[in-house]
Amino acid sequence: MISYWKNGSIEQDSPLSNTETLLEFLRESKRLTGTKEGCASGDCGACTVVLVSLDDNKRLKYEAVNSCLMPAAELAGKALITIEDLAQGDDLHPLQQAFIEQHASQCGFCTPGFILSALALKKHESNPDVEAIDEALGGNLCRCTGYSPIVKAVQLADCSQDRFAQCEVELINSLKQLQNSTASVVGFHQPRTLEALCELKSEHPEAILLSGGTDWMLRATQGLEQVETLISTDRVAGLNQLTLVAGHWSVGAAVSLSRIKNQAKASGFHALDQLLSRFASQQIRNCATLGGSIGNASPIGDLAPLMLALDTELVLNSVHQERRVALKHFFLGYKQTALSPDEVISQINFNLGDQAQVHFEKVSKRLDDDISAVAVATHYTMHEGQLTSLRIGLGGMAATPVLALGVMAAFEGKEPSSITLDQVTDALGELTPLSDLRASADYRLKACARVIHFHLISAKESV
Amino acid sequence: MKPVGVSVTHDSALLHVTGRARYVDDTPLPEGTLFAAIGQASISRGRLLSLDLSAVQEAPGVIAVLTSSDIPGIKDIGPVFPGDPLLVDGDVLFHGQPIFLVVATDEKQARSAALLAEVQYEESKPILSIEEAKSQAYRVRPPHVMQRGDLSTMDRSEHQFSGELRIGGQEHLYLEGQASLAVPTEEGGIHLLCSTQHPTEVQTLVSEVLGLPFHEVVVEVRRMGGAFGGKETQAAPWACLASLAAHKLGKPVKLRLPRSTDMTVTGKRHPFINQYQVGFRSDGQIEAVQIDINGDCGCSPDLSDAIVDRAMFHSDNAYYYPAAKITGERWRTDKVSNTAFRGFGGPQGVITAEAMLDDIARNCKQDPLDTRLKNLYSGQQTHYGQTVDGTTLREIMTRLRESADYDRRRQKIAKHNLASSRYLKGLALTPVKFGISFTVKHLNQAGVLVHIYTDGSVLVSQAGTEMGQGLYTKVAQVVASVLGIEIDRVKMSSTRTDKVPNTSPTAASSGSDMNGMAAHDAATTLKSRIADFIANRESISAEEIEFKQGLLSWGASSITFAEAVKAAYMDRVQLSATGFYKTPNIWYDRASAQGNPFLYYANGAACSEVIIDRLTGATHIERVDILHDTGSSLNPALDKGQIEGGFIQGVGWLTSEELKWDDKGRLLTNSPATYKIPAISDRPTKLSIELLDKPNSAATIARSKAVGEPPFMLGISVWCAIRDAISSVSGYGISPTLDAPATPEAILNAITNLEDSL
Ligand SMILES: Cc1cc2nc3c(=O)[nH]c(=O)nc-3n(C[C@H](O)[C@H](O)[C@H](O)COP(=O)(O)OP(=O)(O)OC[C@H]3O[C@@H](n4cnc5c(N)ncnc54)[C@H](O)[C@@H]3O)c2cc1C
Ligand code: FES
Ligand code: FES
Repeated sequence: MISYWKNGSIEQDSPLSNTETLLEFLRESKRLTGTKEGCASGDCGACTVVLVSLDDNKRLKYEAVNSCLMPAAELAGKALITIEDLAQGDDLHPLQQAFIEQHASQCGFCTPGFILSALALKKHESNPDVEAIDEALGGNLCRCTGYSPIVKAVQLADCSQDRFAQCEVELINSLKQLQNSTASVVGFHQPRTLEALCELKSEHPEAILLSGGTDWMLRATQGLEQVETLISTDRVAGLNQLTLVAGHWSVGAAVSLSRIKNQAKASGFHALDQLLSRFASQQIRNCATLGGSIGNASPIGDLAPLMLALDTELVLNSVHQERRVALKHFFLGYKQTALSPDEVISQINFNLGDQAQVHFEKVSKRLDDDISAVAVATHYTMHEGQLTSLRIGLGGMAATPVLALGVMAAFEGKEPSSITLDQVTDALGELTPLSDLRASADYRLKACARVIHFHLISAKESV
Repeated sequence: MKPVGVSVTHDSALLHVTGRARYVDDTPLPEGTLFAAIGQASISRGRLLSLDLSAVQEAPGVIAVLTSSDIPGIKDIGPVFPGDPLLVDGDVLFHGQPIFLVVATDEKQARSAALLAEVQYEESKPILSIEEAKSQAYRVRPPHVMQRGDLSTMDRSEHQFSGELRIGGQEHLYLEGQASLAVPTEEGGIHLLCSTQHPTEVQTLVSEVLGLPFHEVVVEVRRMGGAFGGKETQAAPWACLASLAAHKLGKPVKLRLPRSTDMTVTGKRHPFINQYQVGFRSDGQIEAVQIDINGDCGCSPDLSDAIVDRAMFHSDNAYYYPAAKITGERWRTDKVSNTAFRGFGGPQGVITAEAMLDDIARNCKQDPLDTRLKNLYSGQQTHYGQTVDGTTLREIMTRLRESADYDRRRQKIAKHNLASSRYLKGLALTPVKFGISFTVKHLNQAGVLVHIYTDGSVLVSQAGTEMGQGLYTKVAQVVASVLGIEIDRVKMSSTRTDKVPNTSPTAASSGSDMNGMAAHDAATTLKSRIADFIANRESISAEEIEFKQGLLSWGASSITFAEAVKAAYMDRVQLSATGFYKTPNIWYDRASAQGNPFLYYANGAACSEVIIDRLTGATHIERVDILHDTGSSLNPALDKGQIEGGFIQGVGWLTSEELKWDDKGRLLTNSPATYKIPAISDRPTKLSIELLDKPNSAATIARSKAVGEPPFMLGISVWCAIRDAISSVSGYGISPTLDAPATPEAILNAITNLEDSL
């Protein structure tokens, strides 16, 4: 059983299983077919819906998510907006009106998803610039229009007085009322404290920890896997804190990437902000977590290279102990980590010193929502024309995210302007990346060397 | 209001934005509907030795498992030539080929069960590339040659140049995957809801597979969530399989393909490897051209004959070749059979010509635009004998050169490239000339059925299908304009084979040309019936009556259209009419490879500027100016939508959309996670689209021009601009080898190859 708010009232329903997706729940159980399935893998945005919840200041937070990747059980205690909720009879929502006027739909299959992504954006930014629109809609594919009519429609729609603005008070009250509501679905757990989480994990060491689910849920939707026990970290208070004091970041493992992005932007950490702009899509970032990104140990993940370059430390918890592990010792082999079956990642800590300079470059076929062929994060300090410290994290260059130890050893203490591309290429020699569908080994090496070289020769002292 | 020529909104726009538009998968299911899933081959080439389906049969929820031996009628559903078995019948032709169908009470159960088969094969080494196919003379169809003039002039030309261009395929990635819902009728027939561009072919094949007369099968299509050619022949297998199960079990059956299955089992745009050899003068004038067009057709003919033909027809793009020999080969590979995709082979011909023109320009140290203009048609005949006037094209290109500020930007870019170390810019202005008509003559026909009800509301059924292009809207505009009524009085019915029979696919950009004309014909019949009746009643001549703004007026009198209709009905005037159209004056003689295959050409040009990151090969499109010829546009907003969407799709084909197969013939890029179509940030930073508002000289509907496919090839300007940017590394002296798609990797390789050669 789950309780959630939709279209003016609190509803109760029973998802069919712990892995039933919100999309399946909507289309099959609720017969609400306005939400479309284009891929069932988080890549097209046709299934986008908006979740509304209360932020720390008890203000409404509208977030677009891929319903194809979210377990319906996770809906418990939240408010949901689907395309069916936008118009009241013939009274269209301003976004709907604008989409019609701008000829922003052709086949129309992508349209509900775009409108919901746009709704979440407009609820927080009434006059978004083009970059903000691109960032918010980067996870919605349209094969027909070429996008510019859609962008125009989003710009023109005035949503400030829409029906959601009008029912704000009621919505806030309903969400407060639902605050402690948890899913009661067989094989689905939503612990609220770190202790409870650790206890569950020690009782069910084989259970899957689900944070954003944007990685693991593909095994259910694409691999048709079933699993006895899912433990969601979404409600664990201790895992949802983000603090930043004097350059020291402490990020709870369940903090969403969009929240981290906002913080990075607000505190001027450009490399992280820029990395996250290129990380998946807004829908994914709203769900995906830093803990999940490190927990999945993907060799082509984007965050691990930066975290390695920042010499990040992980806090791991189990019922027995809390321990701290340097990230560079965490990845043991392809998708293998130092985490034991009863442990969870609870916190990710890193420091951004005053003098530090950080650059990040993601190399992929497409700008929006693509997986890296190569990711390079360069972190250095410079003093009197020399690189006094240098750490470079790489993705896509080995079976795990790695530090470019050869390059670091070769150029630490050097004068950047003296470094040549050939020297960088030689210093990368220890790495033997794969050739796969995204890129050849040769390209990975070539692009990686060129990017590092560029980062190094453009190195400047911080002012 | 004049409904034709006006930007009426898409007839389903309201339904799209409210989520009420129903696609096949959204249709409320009839009671007892079962769900099907396919079981697939895990090898690319070989024979089935044994098939043990017991675990599938015993899996939870499974109702039936069907194989080739359960097919009562024909087993091969090849649309033109045989070669496409509905289910594996002995030989495996490609990886992922359907072997059997599982039907279960729920979709997930069907999909899970389909994975449980025990299959043994005798595996052979698959042929996966054009080169291998060539070495073994492995073809799906014989070659065809178009030749004209004296090729020996090539050796006497001041310059000769030869090149090769490898062009990748393209996945359609229609957002709505393949889907069919088959409902058995009381007499053992089938009513089928299907997402297809070709309802008649689906009807025919379903009937033949089930051994039924065609009138027992009705195929209905209201709309598709995109198609782009991928639902012309590729919708039929799933329709036939759903119908087979529905027929066997007497229950409704839905079959929709999960995305990765869809991408594995449906054909794509053909990859090509084209070689060209050209003789030209120092001033860039072409004297002789020889082009070998090599299409990778996959495992069966499907539509490849016509597709390779179209590549050949378009290998001149807009340029006059005084002497030419074009050879078109249709190679077979052990991969899924390639199929129609917007442009239908045309783009692969056009890009070959454009690559060649750039090479000539670099050789002659000319601005490529000047070389293009020098060779542009002006009244000569193509290599297949059709005369090309060329004045419209020249007008478009010279106007665009001016409005896009081409010459000044070219200088600025050359300067930028000298100064910048990280970013290179490139510019190109390329034309498109695209022949309109099916090159298979009998397909150039369409029918329409128009009913007027006694309240004056009108219902139109027609042969064409709606896939987002706005065909229904345009046809409704035509009918409303003939009858002089508001467009909201005209409703478009879904496309059904029991309303309009024996239809052609909605393809070859011909939808509104043909259905628009047929609708005009039907509406005109009705209009004159009503006019004759009123004229008779009022003792005036029918010509005196004007149909306008919902009124019939003559002299000082007028009545509403609804009143006239009601009165006509009372007088027993027939208020339903069919309309028909067949495209005149088109022919092609295959034996002599000469003819007049196209009713007219649609023209356009695009000027694109790109910026390339020299570190990684990443590209962005900075600015695009398009001037496109849609004749007298039926609906400027819809036409601009087609132009922009087609352009971006063309850009995707040539940049980020890369299909990769492993050495066993398995498609690796089988999901939108790994196959990247353009996303929102890939649209040009600045984009301007202008229509050349000039009536078609051919007598088309309201003198408009087809617009579905031609703009796709405007994307080639981006590929040429990328090549231009790379060429700047050599001071524009060398025309770099650049395969399509120009992924960051391909671009960086081209750059480093040039750097190394300097
Ligand atoms: C469309 C799409 C695009 C993507 N794009 C990118 C991209 O651009 N860059 C990129 O790097 N990744 C990308 N990903 C991959 C993935 O979504 C991210 O890596 C994301 O950060 C995973 O976080 P999550 O919270 O959703 O993980 P989940 O799916 O919840 O978990 C992932 C794994 O980590 C484990 N785990 C989760 N939380 C913890 C914890 N607290 N302690 C220990 N283990 C834990 C889980 O058990 C699971 O095995 C993409 C995925 C999709 C579907
Ligand atoms: S269906 Fe494509 S992202 Fe969910
Ligand atoms: S309108 Fe067809 S996919 Fe966007």
